[in-house]
Amino acid sequence: MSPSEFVQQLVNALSLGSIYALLALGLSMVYGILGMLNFAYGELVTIAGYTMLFLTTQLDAPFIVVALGGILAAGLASVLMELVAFRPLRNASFVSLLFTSFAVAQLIQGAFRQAVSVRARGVPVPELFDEAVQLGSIRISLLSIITASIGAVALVTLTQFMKRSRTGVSMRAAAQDFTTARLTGVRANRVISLAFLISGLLAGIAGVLWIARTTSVNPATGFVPVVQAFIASVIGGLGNLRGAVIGGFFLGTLEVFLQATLPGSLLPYAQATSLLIVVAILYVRPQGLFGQRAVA
Amino acid sequence: MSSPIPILRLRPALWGTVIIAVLLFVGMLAVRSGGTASAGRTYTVFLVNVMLVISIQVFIGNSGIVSFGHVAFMGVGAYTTALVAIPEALKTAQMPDLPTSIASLQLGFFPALLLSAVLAALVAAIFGGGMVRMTESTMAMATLALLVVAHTFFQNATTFTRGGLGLAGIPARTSLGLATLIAVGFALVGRLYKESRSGLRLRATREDALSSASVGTNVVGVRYGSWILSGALMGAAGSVWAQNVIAFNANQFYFAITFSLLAMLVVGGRSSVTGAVAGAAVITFMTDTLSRVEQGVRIGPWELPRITGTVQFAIALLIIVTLILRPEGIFDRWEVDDLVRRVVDRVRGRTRAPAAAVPPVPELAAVAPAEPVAEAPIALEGRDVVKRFDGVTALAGVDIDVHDGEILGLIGPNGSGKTTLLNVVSGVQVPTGGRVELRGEDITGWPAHRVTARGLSRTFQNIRLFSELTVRENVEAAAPADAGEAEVEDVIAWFGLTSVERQKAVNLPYGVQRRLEIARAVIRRPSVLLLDEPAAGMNESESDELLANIRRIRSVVGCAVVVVDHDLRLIMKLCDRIQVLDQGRTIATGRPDQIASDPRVVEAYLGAGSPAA
Repeated sequence: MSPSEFVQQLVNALSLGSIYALLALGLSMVYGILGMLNFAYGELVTIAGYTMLFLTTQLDAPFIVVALGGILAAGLASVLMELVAFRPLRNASFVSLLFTSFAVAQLIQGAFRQAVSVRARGVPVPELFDEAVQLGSIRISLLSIITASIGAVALVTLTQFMKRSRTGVSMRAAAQDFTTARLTGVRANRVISLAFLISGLLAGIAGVLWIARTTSVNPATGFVPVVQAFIASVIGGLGNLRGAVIGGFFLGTLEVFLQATLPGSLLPYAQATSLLIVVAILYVRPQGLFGQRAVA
Repeated sequence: MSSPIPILRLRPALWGTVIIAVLLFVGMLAVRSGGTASAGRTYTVFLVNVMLVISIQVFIGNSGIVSFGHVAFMGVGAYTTALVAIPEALKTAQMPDLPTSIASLQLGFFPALLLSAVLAALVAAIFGGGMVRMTESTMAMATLALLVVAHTFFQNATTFTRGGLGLAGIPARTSLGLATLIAVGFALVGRLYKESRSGLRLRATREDALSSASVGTNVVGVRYGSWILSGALMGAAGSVWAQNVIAFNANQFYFAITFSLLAMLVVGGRSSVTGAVAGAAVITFMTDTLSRVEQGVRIGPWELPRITGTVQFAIALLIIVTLILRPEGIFDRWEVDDLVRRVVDRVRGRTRAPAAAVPPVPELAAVAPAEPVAEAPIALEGRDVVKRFDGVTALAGVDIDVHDGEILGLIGPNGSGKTTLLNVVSGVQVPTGGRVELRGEDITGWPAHRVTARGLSRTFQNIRLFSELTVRENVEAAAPADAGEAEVEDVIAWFGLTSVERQKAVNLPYGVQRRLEIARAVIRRPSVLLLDEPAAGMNESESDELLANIRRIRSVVGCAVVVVDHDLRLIMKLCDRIQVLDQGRTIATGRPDQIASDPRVVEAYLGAGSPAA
């Protein structure tokens, strides 16, 4: 791999990594507070995708509106999901909650299959995304730069919110020890709804960026993102917010560099290989890289 | 781990399986005599689903850990069977690059089934070794990774699988009668495993992994065993499945089928074999009815069991409604024979003994008087034991000696390191430094289950019972491998728990739970027994009863006892010797009367200027 190629791949890794980081962060936030793995999380990406499809094809809205619409739809859907499906099961076991979210995922997929189509639909994105920037001998796709920057902005904003604002601090407290946080006056329902809102917005941002890469949406679009988000947050140590971000970048980098270095005959195995590497890491550190040390 | 099945647990297992067998055979006969050909096909699909779900239940139901990856083993079984069962000409036509050694293989139904099970078990053993060490949520994610990896492999290893194009021409050898027989076989294996010693120990880890280890269970070991058994069963079920559908492709071993199998498990009740059968029935017949209503979704020249949108929708709703109404599924943790027994009991007018009626531990005639024990050999010895947590020093070099037959009291203010010392010598925590010996053997840093196997038992400060298991199962799960039914009954009777032996531990009153936890430690026949705050929350008369009971344990079991407690009245009356800790160091040891008058103890324990207790 030549140096210029390396830089190109590095930008790609940052771009894919920031999508995974956003997804893992949203997932980890809900896990930290409720101790639940939300399997329906990937469907938020799908919902963002279909909202984008609707806004562009039916209303012919400008892309910025389309993107914001997708993000808001995912945030809203996340809050609704919790209210309708998870709240009645608040005190259920980890396994019951996992299965419920699994069912919710299937329900949403089924709904899109019935209401739209089983087949993938193209989502038009600005032509700008296909262009590339030439920096000396290095050619970098504009979309990668945009993705990485938006990812960085979102992560920094969220970090500041969690560090500076009163709400953010109470959420971090809740993520570390929900019972104690409630005793100090943190209102459970409010924090939980807010966690689902932020988690949904993060999935929405990641979803819009994801759709901009794939330029199409189908009922099962959310599957790959949710698997990657799970894996990334597991690498970082489930429930650990900083770990989730690092896990996301780690997984993105691993995937991009495997894609770039694996011989052609093994390319279909790129994702599988990166998953195997992650499982091998977990073999050595079953609690993840940052597990147990609860640092937000 | 050797796992003899105590007679007592074998009987309900056989009864339960007989009832399930009768139901399955009656259904089979009804379908065969009165039903149409399509009813017969649906019933066979149901029976294959029973096999698949029971295979998954063996792991998820008993360990309490979710696996999304079992369809990988089903795929291994199905492909193995296809590769050894498709007629040679058809095989070479579909897979020209297949090595001739495989192409020429022709195996019958049962050899193919066996080979599928063995290969699936092998794959399970390879992937499971790392996974079973993880925490439950991490392992769930790792199994998801397994599903993705296996699916990628099935799709791309086209030499053997033909990927998305799929394989056809597998002989249709799964007849209705054969499927019924095999399904009953799966129910029997699933139930026998559940009731076996390993199965019971695994169910105990589901309730509390730490206290499981402290009653001698190798948590990783029993999880791994059930994972491999479950994988082997799944491979066998995949073989039967392949010989029923006769053609399939790589995309079938992915999410849709994982979803519907897990749905069967969840709706029926994941902790129960009966639940697995019931769940398979509900979902299979619902799927069948809905696809009939839907019609027209038939792809390719073969009738593939495909899950269409409506079915998926209905299953998802069914899961959510079931989990809201019955969070543990229709059958919860109950098997069909439990229900039959309950009905019989009600008809005969038997009622459960109220837990409050538990008698006190019966008085024994004589309790051995406290003898001087300083000359007795040392049972447990700790030298210069150090334990640090991230900069906090909990133990700064503590020595501890416990002689055979001695009752040693361990006291000290909160945070003085008493519980940490118990944790370090019992293997719950690894010491940072120092040396621990049990009867002259160096056990420093050994895991808890190995320490327990060498004769050290303990209880916990905050009771850690196997909440959802019955009183009897709590004791049985802790019993050493050579302990028989009679010994279990003796200990239960000794602690006055016979009238509540069939109740779940979680439903017992606090004092009885404490007693059960000690009973669970005593069944191990320990040579050293550690009791962490056994008198916490007890009133004076309860604490007197406890005192008599501990003395009795010492004289009957003949063990050394270490008691940590804040109840100084109890400690002073009970102990032969007392060791006082403060800030991770020993500040005094001696007879109770010496300790009571030691000024250092009075100062550290009660604060300077306080009168002695």
